[in-house]
Amino acid sequence: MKPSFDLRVCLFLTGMVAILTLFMEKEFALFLLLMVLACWLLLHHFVKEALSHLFWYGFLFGAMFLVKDIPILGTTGLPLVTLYIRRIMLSVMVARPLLASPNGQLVATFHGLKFPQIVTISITLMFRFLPTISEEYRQIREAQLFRDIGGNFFKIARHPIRYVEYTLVPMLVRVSKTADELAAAAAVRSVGSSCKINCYHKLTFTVYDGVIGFIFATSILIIFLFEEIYLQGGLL
Amino acid sequence: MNTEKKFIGLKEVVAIVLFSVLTIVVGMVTGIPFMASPTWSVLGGYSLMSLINGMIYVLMITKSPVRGTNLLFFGVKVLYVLLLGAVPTALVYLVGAILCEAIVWNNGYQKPVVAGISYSLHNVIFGIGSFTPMILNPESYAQQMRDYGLEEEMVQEMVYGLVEPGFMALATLLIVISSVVGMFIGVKMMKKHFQPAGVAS
Repeated sequence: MKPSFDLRVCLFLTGMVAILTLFMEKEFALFLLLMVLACWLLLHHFVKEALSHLFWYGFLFGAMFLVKDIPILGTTGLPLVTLYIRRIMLSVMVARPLLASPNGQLVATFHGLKFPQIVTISITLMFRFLPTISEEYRQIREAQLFRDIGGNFFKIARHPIRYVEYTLVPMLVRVSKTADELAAAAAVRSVGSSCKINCYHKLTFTVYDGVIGFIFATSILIIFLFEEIYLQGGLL
Repeated sequence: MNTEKKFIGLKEVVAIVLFSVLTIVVGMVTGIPFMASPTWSVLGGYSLMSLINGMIYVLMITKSPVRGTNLLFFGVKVLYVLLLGAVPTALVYLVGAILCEAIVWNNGYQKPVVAGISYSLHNVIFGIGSFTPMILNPESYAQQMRDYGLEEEMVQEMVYGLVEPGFMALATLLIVISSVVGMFIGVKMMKKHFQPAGVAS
């Protein structure tokens, strides 16, 4: 069982990593940050995710060197894409506990931080709706295959507009219906009403949260300063 | 259309968030074929995204033609990039959200031209704004490309080529054209599919 953790620490570290990685240029510093964030994931029992991120980071880093020597691919923007994705991966790693948290805890955290209700609803819906889209698309695709629409690249390429129409229309109808159902369900739970809301999940900032937050914030800051002073300054 | 309400309520918030998430997914999917080149990801990827999302946008504003729709529509993208850690991009998107909402503030959702201008601006800011970290600190990206052993000419093209005014103007033009065409198709689709299905009036 994962230990109870104050998501406010996670939010703070996410913001910190997002801002600092913007100014980090050296691969070695980014690699150190990757290691710290892998520890962060392991601490939260995200073993599979930590290994997966390490693998994909390494893969993209290696792909960079392979791609640049391939005649046509080497002249494309793929090297830049791998760089961009790897930077985004670092922010996703630190935000992972936030994304995996239960709806109630997420809502309680944002409520505790006095976030407007519209922001809380938006974030909660955003991450819970993404898997629904892939499920809806899978169902639409199955129905299309049954009617011999799409199926492979060549069939789609022959009638691209028809394929987009036949995919987008049922998807939009489903999204529209889902929105109506979700709005009705939320209204039943008094979401959006002006009355005072009591969250089921209680926010408690423990000594454990403080120590963990301090250790990781300090580590990230040290890596940033190390990069700025030594690596960029050319001292190492 | 609901003309009694002036601001978005819970029902509209849920619908806008879901449609906005769908546009983000469409943006990701349309970006895949063009991801090999940053230039083409702006010219091709964002243009195709604007074209397809035009249909989603028309349905969304038909279901929610009230103040705050555009703000939340872009606001969801602000939250999305914030969670991905792109703080400067989020700030640019936030300014874009306010501008897009200001354009349609005075009952603009009922006027196709005004809504089209707002939607076009949305896509231009979303497309070009996504390269904000590169525009703010191109040297950071360029240095990393050089560290990988890429030639200077290629680095110049990949990083500095994106922030040239001529390229920005061309990208803006293409995105605006595809946004207008996308909205036009969206209006046609409303009459052909969504109104008969009772999804929107």
